[in-house]
Order: sequence, then structure tokens, then C-alpha cells
Amino acid sequence: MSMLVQARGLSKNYGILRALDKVDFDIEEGRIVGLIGPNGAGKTTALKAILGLTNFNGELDVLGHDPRISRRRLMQDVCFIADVATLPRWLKVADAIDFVEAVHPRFSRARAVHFLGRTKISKKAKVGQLSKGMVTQLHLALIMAIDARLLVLDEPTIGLDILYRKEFYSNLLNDYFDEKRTILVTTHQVEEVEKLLTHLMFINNGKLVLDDSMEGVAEKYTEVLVPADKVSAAQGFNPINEREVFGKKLFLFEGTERDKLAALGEIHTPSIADLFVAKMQGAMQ
Amino acid sequence: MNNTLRAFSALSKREIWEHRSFWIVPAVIGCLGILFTLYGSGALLVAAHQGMINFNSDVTFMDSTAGIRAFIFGSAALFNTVMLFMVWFYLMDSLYADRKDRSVLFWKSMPVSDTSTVLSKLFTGMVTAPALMLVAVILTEIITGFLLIIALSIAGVSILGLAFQPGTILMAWMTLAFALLVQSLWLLPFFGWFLLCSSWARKLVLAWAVLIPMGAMIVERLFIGTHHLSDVIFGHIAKLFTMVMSGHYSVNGVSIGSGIGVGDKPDVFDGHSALMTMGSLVHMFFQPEMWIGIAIGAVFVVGAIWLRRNRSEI
Repeated sequence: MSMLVQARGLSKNYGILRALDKVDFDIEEGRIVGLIGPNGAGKTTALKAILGLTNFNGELDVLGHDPRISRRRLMQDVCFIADVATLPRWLKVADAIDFVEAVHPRFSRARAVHFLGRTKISKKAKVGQLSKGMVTQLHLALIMAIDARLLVLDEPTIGLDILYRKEFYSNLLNDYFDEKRTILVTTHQVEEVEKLLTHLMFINNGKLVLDDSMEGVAEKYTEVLVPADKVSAAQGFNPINEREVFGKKLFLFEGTERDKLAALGEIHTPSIADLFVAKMQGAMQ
Repeated sequence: MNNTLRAFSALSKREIWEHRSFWIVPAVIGCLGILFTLYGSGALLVAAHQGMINFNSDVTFMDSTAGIRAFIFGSAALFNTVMLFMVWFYLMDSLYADRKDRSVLFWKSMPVSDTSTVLSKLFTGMVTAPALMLVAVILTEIITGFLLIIALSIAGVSILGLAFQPGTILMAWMTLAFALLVQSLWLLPFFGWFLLCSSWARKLVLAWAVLIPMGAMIVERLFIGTHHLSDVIFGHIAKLFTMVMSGHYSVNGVSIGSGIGVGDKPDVFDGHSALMTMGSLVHMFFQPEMWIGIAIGAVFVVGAIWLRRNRSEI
């Protein structure tokens, strides 16, 4: 296991706005990390810093490079899809393949052609003639044909219909991901990536509010559905969140032992979405 | 091919994929030129048939050499004027359009340095666009030249012997190619400035590219009362056209462009050709403005690269 990304005291200000406030984190090889946060929390800024697209303060090491200085070298090992449809409209599919083949030493034309063969995209088409979903398929085919170590995805499926979204992640898992590869993904559609992730990071107001493996999250956070008569007992364990469901109360606990909670009611591991809401509300109070 | 060169050639090709007008526009001008020549030849034949014109038969070999050169350079002038406007707008757009449509994020996801990217755009404006134009010029001249020769011979004037001077023609084309290169180098400070504005502006590149120098000129005139800046900028452009296009590097604008008609007086002036020659072009490199311009242009290009590195979105 080697460390791909190491951030220490990573900070970035836009005027008086602190987009990133002395953030520390590590990303190890072979992980699929979800970086989740509300709009304006600093997700995109963190990704841009990793990709060498923005200046920052603090230390950031990506595959042994300082992204501010050696973006070109870094991009041989790092791929990214920033948002859907950043491929230029005038580009022909065949030309896109030629271009990436010429500039990227780790691109395999055969793989790209293979992935494209499973879609309805014509090689003669221009990007502007393709649907949004097809543009994403094309971009993914190009990126998956690159033998990169770190793949960064920034809202890769936003605005796509459900079929393309499902396909996007299943392609990524089945045809791309292995123990040598690492994926860092930000998304609003948390439910879609929930089963994919090995690690989770929550970011809010430029600070990390959670940074753990999925097993760690399952161990630390417990959701308990408590009947009315045990509500005050549950409140005694300092839940981080409570809400009403079908006349019962749903409590979320952080770091409380499961054995103790089992006596209160039915216990679950919280979904990322529920955990996210609880953490963000906690931060606001 | 080594990797950097391979990437650079891909970047240059990419510019032509996006800006197909660099070959389409010269091709269209060429086709129009051929159509006009066809029409002109027809009109000439009709006029000759009706005995309305008489051809002067004392055309000398020297006259015809000048005529060939005048034909080759003259028909290139229109192509060149259009091409320069295209390059101007292309450079202003080149580092701005992809930030506007966010495709910069795709380009920056490739292992290509910002230096290569910016230089590929400069290369496209300075070399690719003139080269494509030159191809169109040469093809158009071959076709229109043949049309004229055929029309004239049908009209009873055989100029084939006079017009077919391969050495003169080839030399004129080579001079033209060299002139385009000299022109690009001479205009480098302008090209660099457009790239800088393109890399910097968040909107309205044209306004920045034009209003900043205009504003500086106005401020100079109002507050200092001098007009050095406008003299330097407009003088630089004027000098290109008087020196490169006419070859009159020792004359104060007298008789520029005169005496280039077949059968008219020969285009000889002060012992120099009134049209550009390899010699008059080489002379451009002995002008201090050439090197000062290149230095200023280089500073602008470095600035454009620096901004490109640090400004990826609008």
C-alpha cells in the first residue's frame, strides 16, 4: 500500500471566503474515496488543488509531485472527469482518440475502441451531435483506456438519466477498478456511490468533518429505531441526530457501543445520506 | 518522433480541427478568384473578337518577369489580408473559448504543459495559417495563370513563352513563403498581446485587446501631450507593409506599387525591384524594430503561459 495523496494544512482563500481551512488527509492506493459536502463546502477546490488547477497554501503531495509545479508530469498518472460534457462540441470522436493517443503515453487505442464498441457512438460523430449521456460514455471510454493510478471524478453523472448513471458506475467497477487503482469521487447523488466506496470524507465550510473507511463508519455510527417509551433513555446516550419515523424516533449515535444501543430498539448502519444530513446539521447548530 | 514533438504536432492538428476556416476561407477565396478569372477571360475573348482591344506586342522578357512577380504577389495580397484578420480573431479566442465552454478541464486533464498549449496556438497563427494560405495561393495562381494564358492565346496573343519562367515563378513563391514568415515575426508583439488578453480576460477579449492600447494612447496625448505610443504601434504596422510588400526599403513612400503592369514601364526603381525580394526581406532582420518587437512579443507570450497555468476557468 502506498500513499497517493498527502495533504497537510491545505488551505485556499477566495477573497475573504475560506474554501479550504488547514485540511489534512491521506489517500492510499486501492481506495475508492467519496468526498461529500454541500455546495461551496470546498470539494471542488480540494480536487482542483490535487489536479494542479489552482494555487493553494500548505503541503500537498500527489504521487510524489507538487501539483502546482508539475501538472504535466502528474497527468500521466492521474485522470479526471470534471463535470459532465467538458469535451468540446467541435471535436470528432475519431479525432479525440487520435489526440489522446498522441499526447498520452499510457493510452491504449484498442481499449478505447473496445469500450466505444459497446455504445452507439459513431466514430464520425462530433461531440456536439451526441446526447449528454453519450458524451459521458465517450469521456469515460477515453479515460478508462488510460492506465492511470488515480482517477478523479467531479460530479461525473450530474444531469444524466438513471440508465446512464447506473452504467457509468458499473463500467467503472467492472472494467476499470482493481487494487492498483484509486478513485476519488465527489457527487451529490450519494446513494449511487454508497456501495462503491471504501472510504468516506465529509467536508463542510472548508473543514473535514469525517474521514474514515466504510467499515470504520459502520463501527462508529449506529442508527436506532426507538419506540416512544425508550426515547428518554436513548437521549441519555447523546445522539448526534434524532428524527421521527412512523411514530417512532430514529436516533443516530456516534461512538456509542452497539451492545448498549441494541437494548433501545432495532439497530442499523446509517446510510451515507442520513449520516451526511446529521453531520451537516450538527455543524450548523 | 520524440514525445514532446508528437504532442506538439497533435496540439497543432487540434487547432485546425477546431478552426477549419484556416483552410476553408483561403479555398473559398481561391475558388472566387478562379471564377472571376473565368469571367474575365470570357469578357476578354469577347472584346478581342469584336476587335475592341489591341494587344501591345512589344512586351519584353524583363517586363514579363516583373509581371509574373506582380501577379504572384498581387493575388496573394487579398488572401493575406483576410488571413491576418482571421489570425487576429483566432488568437484572441484561443485561450478564452475553452475556458468559456469549460472544455479547458478536458485539455488540462491531458499530460500537456501549458507552455506547449500556448505555443501551439502561437504556432498555428504564425506558421500553420500562413502555410495553408500559401498552398491555396499557389493552387489558385497555377489555375488562374493557365486560364489567362489560354484565353490570351485564343485571342491571338501567345504569352506562354514569356509567362513560362519556372525559375522566376518558383523564386517568387519562395519569396512569398519567406515574406509570410517575416510578417509573422514582425507582428509577434501583436500576436503575443492578443494571446495575453485571451489568457487574461474573463469576457470581451476584443475590448481588452483594443481598448487598453487605445486608452494608453489617449492618456499619453491628453496628459503628456505626445503621441509616441501611437507612432510606434501604427508605425510598426506601416513599416511592414511599405518594406515587406513593396521592397522599398530606401524610399519614403514614393511610387510604391507603381509600374507593375505588363507592358507598362518596368518595375525598376533605384536599381531595386519595386516588389519585395529575398534581399529586401532579409533586410528586415537588420531593423532594430524586428528584434525589439520579438522581445516584447516573447514577454507577452510568457505572460500568457503564466496566466494559463493559474487561470483555468472564467
